[in-house]
Amino acid sequence: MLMRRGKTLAMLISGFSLMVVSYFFLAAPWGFPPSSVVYSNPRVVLVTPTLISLGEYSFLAWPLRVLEILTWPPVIFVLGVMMVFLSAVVYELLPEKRSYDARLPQQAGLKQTQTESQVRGPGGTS
Amino acid sequence: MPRYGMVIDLDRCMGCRACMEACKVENNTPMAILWMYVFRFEDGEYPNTHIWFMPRPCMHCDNAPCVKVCPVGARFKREDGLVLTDYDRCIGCRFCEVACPYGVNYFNWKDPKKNYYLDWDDEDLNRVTNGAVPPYKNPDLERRYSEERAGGGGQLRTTAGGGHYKGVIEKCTFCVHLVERGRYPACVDNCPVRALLFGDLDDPESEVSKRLKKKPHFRLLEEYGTEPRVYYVGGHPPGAETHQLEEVIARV
Amino acid sequence: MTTQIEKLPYGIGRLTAGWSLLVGLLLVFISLGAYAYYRQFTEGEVVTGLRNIGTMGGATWGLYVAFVIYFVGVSFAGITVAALIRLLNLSHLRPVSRMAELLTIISLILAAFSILADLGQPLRGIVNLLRYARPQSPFFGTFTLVISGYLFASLVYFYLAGRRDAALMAQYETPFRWFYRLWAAGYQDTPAERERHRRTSFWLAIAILPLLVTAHSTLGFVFGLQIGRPAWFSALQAPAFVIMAGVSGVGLLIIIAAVLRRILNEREHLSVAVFQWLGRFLMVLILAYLYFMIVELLTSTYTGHHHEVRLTQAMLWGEYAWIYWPSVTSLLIPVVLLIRQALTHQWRIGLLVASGVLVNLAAVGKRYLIVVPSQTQGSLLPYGSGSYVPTWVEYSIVLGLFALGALLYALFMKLFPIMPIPERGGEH
Repeated sequence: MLMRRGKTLAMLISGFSLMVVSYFFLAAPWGFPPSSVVYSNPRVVLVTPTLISLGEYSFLAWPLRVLEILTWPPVIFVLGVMMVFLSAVVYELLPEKRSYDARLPQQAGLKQTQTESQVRGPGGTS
Repeated sequence: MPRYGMVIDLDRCMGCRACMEACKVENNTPMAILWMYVFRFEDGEYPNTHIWFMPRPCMHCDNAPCVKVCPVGARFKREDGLVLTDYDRCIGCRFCEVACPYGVNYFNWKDPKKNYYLDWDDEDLNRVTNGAVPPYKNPDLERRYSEERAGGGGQLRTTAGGGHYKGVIEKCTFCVHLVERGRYPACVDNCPVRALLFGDLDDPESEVSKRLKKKPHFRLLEEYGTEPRVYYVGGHPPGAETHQLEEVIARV
Repeated sequence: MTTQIEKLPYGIGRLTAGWSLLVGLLLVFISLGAYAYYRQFTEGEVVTGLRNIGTMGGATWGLYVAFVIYFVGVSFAGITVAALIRLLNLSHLRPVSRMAELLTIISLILAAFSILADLGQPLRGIVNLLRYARPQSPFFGTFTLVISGYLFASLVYFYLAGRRDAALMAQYETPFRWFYRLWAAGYQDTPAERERHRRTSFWLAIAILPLLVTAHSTLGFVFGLQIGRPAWFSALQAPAFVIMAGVSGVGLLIIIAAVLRRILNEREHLSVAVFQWLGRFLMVLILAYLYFMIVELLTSTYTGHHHEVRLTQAMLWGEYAWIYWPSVTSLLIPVVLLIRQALTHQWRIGLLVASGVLVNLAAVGKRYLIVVPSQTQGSLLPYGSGSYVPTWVEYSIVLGLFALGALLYALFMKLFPIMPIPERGGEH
């Protein structure tokens, strides 16, 4: 099972790879100079429009629908950027281990809310 | 694949501006939007002045600054050299316009339908024209011309003509809808003295190649590295002393 | 209930008459801006003073773009202050850290709005940018890095740095207790958690710092990479944008900090030492910018190319002199004021605020001068000179954006402590 550090690292790596993949392999390529339509379109203009129209209502269409996101490289890039920075939240919010020893109330300055926050906090018990 | 280009013979141009008119009629551009523009220049100080004319279409650059900066790829370069705008994709940021050194981009500041010289819904007008198709209904201009991807596949893109939406950029297309059918752009067709020539620069037998071989040529702002596809023969590029005639009058 | 609200730090929840008046006034301005935008949206940008470059003799980018740069520039303050605290251990600046970060977040939101205000097809813009944005366009960086990346990173930083105070706030019986609990997310303020937060924010600061330089440079590249307009094509553009961003951001931060100091009566926490640091920082940044300005002026005039000369003439003693010289003066006066205070070691907050106001005026002026004259006076073909006069629509939208920013700031202040609650703040 991935621990906190592992999850953070995984998010960092996947975030950066999303950025790299979308920038270099999905988004429109740089052209020096741009001499063709290729340089003004996302690289993947998927053939899915035809495929999807074939299987519009079958469950087979759904994986293709997912593939359609590949034609939105900037979204992938932005998601990558966001994932990289969200890893900081993961790192800070996830508990170290599945034990509460690390945050005994006597060390804390906030004794009275301790129990409540444990119940309420989204990262508190996961 | 042809390599389309234009040759403009400045020795022949007499500043009649028929090309500007032809362009407006063909492409239905609204008021104050001049895809083709003919400069009327005055060089020097009185009495040593020289008046000359210089048509300015879009240069369809090979190293087009506008294509590079377009954030969404609405402005693109076709492999045959035409630089076109997909008005269905344009978001109206006008980056192409500030990037262009030639000032050929025009933005639809208001709804083009409200910006024509004539109100085509006017009853009196319809009586005169006998219900003829108003220019913005030219069916050629609604068709899609350029392929989305080189080598086919994908949707064709909306590129031809002007006056489609408010809030998008439009510019000279070298009349893509005519060129695709093997015809000349409207300005070339309508030049009374054949000062404008259009054709395949790679074909040594084409009119443009022949004219280029016969006379020395220059391109506008060549030193900026934009590699324009419009060649000027005869005459000289405008310099620091060149003024538009209109401006000269304004200075008096 | 009311007794609880009385005890909340920094006037949270206390809707005073003055505050309500301010919010009402801001709402008026926002509605004016919204009405102006409605007019622009329905009638097209013909209602602005913008026109085509060339035969139409106008400027196609105007006030909106100038304020996009201004707003993105102002966002410099937050992350820089955060980075200074984390990387250089300048803990004096800790009291202003949250207000600076809030400034960053709000100004980036405003920048996004001003981009939308500039677009001819704003709805299409939102979709098509996410779908087709091309890395080759300098706008790619503006959209992905500045608006989403930078904003998102700042939000993460802001969120994590606020957890401790959220946990403290959750101790009070307030209607927004759920909000504070959600924000705190189980924060206990144990030494382990503090250590963890210290480590996270250190790395975040390190990660955001290059993003900051990239983001402001990207905006500089929007202009600096264009050969088509005289005075834009310059390697100095990107670094000068970063520095000018710092000048306006720190300047605005000084103003906000001084205003809050007065309103909240926090003379102890927002001590003169804080302002002293900000003032020194501002001084260095202005000096760097003045250096850039001189280098740029020399480069454009020395070669004597007629396009550049015409532009420089228009700026120095032509059409734009009335913006140029006041802008330069608004940079020189603060420099003199700041150097004097630094030499005598007597810092006066009034003078610092004056410097902040002046540099922000200068920032707006300089941005306007970067954007507009190169279009109206900068055609490379002899089109003749153009002109651009903003209309009431543009002024109203910009004013509305400022009001929106101030409103967000004012609302947040009543919801969350604008400064870190001091160590013993939780006890009553």
